[in-house]
Amino acid sequence: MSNIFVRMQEENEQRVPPELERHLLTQVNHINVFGRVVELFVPNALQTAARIIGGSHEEGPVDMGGDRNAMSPEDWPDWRLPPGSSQR
Amino acid sequence: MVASRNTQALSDADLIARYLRDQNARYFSELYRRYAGKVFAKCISMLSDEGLARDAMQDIFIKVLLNLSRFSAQSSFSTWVYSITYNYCIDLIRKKKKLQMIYSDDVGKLSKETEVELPDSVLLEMKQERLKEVMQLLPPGDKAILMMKYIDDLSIKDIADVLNKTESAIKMQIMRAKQKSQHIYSELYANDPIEDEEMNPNTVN
Repeated sequence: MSNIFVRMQEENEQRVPPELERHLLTQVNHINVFGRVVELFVPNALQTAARIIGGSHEEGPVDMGGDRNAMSPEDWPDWRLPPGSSQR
Repeated sequence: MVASRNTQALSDADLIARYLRDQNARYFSELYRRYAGKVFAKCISMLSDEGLARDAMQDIFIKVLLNLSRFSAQSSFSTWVYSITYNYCIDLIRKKKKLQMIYSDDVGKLSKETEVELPDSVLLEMKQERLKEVMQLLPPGDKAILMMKYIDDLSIKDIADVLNKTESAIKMQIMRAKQKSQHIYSELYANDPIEDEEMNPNTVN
């Protein structure tokens, strides 16, 4: 037989407002939609921002081929060309 | 209909795994149906206010949802949900009432000579209405500990984990909560002998 605490809880269990489930599930759906939107758009937004400031999301730093100071001024990369593209 | 029958057959762990995989609200809805009553009953007992309990329950289930990926199968899902419920209610009471005293006495304040282990019958043989009154006057931490012990049937170790305390602190706190309950009871019903025969503190379970 259940004790008095359990009986007290069982009485209160019947008092759950039925509309609460609908409210909660609406909130759950909103959270899921928000999560999907973030998942879908945030990586693209970051990539776009990276491109705007001149870099590329996929490419790492461009290897300039050793110590830059060791190159003669004629071999320095052209600042007008994007990094990694052919010099001439 | 078939879908809901399918979800009913799944264990809590399966529902969680499927919800995390598919993000389908019907799995979470089934978890809600299983635990809503118990969580709501705990909120009412802890907060003694139906409106507050309603808001608290919504917040607790959102918390459960957002932390579902962190749930590890080390404890049962029910214990995890109840621990969120108790801690949420204790925090809410602390904030609302600006309560400093969450437990009847800070552990270690009283000397051991004054501690007397009371039998469970002190509480279990009270009349329901009177127990309700006594529970309402207990500090929230004591209330939570008694509910975990007598309703959820949690072990001392589990209660200690839920409240982030040591096992010996919990044992001491249970003892004090029982003493406090008996003290409140005798203050409330000193002049009402109806239940005197039923309230026999010498009865051992």
